[in-house]
Amino acid sequence: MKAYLKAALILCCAFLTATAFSHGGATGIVKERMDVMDDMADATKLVADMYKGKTEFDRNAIAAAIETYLRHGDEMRTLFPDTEHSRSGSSTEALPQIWIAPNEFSEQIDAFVKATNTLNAAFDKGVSDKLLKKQFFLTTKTCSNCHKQFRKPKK
Amino acid sequence: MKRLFPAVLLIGITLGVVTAFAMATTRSKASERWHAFLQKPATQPGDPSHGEYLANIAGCVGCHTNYGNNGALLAGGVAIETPFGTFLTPNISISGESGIGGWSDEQFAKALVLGTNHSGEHYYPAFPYNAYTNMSAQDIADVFAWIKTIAPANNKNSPHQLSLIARFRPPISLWKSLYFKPMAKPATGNRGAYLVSGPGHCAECHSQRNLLGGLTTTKLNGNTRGPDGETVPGISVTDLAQWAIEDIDLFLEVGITPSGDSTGGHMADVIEYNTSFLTSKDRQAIARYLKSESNS
Repeated sequence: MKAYLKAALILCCAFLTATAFSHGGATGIVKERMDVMDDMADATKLVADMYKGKTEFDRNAIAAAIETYLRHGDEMRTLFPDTEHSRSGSSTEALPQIWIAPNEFSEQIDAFVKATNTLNAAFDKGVSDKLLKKQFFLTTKTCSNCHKQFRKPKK
Repeated sequence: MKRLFPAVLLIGITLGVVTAFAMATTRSKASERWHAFLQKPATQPGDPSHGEYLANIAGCVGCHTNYGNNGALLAGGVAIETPFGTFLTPNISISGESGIGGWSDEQFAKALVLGTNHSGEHYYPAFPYNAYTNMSAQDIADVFAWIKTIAPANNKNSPHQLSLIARFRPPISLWKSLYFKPMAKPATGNRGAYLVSGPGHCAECHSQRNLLGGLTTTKLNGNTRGPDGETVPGISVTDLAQWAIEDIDLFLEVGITPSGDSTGGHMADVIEYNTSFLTSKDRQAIARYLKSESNS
């Protein structure tokens, strides 16, 4: 029995350590927004893999991605508060420009929300696969536009 | 003061001799390069339609059109930040007043192949002639044929905003004698290699540069001195071990990485203004080349 307890304790510790150090030790609001970004990237990946021919084409995956984008779109406005931890918390990839030019940052979120709504409408309307693909990547382009201005470049 | 005079004189003479030697070397190399270029002349009149495609994927349009300020096509004025100061791209429309309107086909080709303007002056290497020198004569003729179809824009060129030393052009000759790479061997049948080393000018950002801005390697192993101070990741076959050909294909088209991330940084512009114009066939050719041992 003691051996089981020991093993369970080690597993718990390993899990907690892994959680604490995911995103290089990000905590609080920084981790929260990184999780949101990851959630959206995961949904994008599923759709991208379809367009690459790695997986079968399935409109449900696009519906799932739209649902994820809709859920997080407006939420992003709350994930970048102007606090010390938010600006320079461990592992943050956010650039100070977010708080220097908050209106421009807000416009980028508006663009994403608007593009997602257009994508959603196109999906509901049952547009062709070709048009749906176009609108999908017009939506992800708004992510790129925002990353270009407001995220540290990846190394 | 009198004691210092011989030392200053000696330094001056040495610099003069080195620059003169560099100028002579660069002239001789340019002559060889031009001779090599003429060995495979264009066989057809320039095709504007193909030229437009090349002008997009090679970055002529993206670098010489100030989209941010609704600038006219090819009218220049795009700022490029470098450790030597800010370069402002020139007007390359066919305006006779401020563009390249009076240029001959040969002068245009020499700009890309030799990195010199119509008066024979050296261009700063912010203009990627180190890569364009690998373009075929036919492709260069096609690009110029397209430029000639675009309405001239009379926007005056703004002077570069460079550090005091960089404003002086003759040392570019010395730079060229050190860092202007010889033309790549023609990549016969390897479209991907041609696109990467020529019009795509991938090495300009993805190969390491030294403090003088010279490429220290032809390998695409990444660069800690990228545009706007960015560290640019490597794209050698080893660097791309986790990327499948279809991952590279979609990335060049829309900027999505294998993990589903939307790329940012300078590459987002490269995708928007250059690689998203590539045909599917050319994207795949590039991907196959990048994933081959030739790109190790």
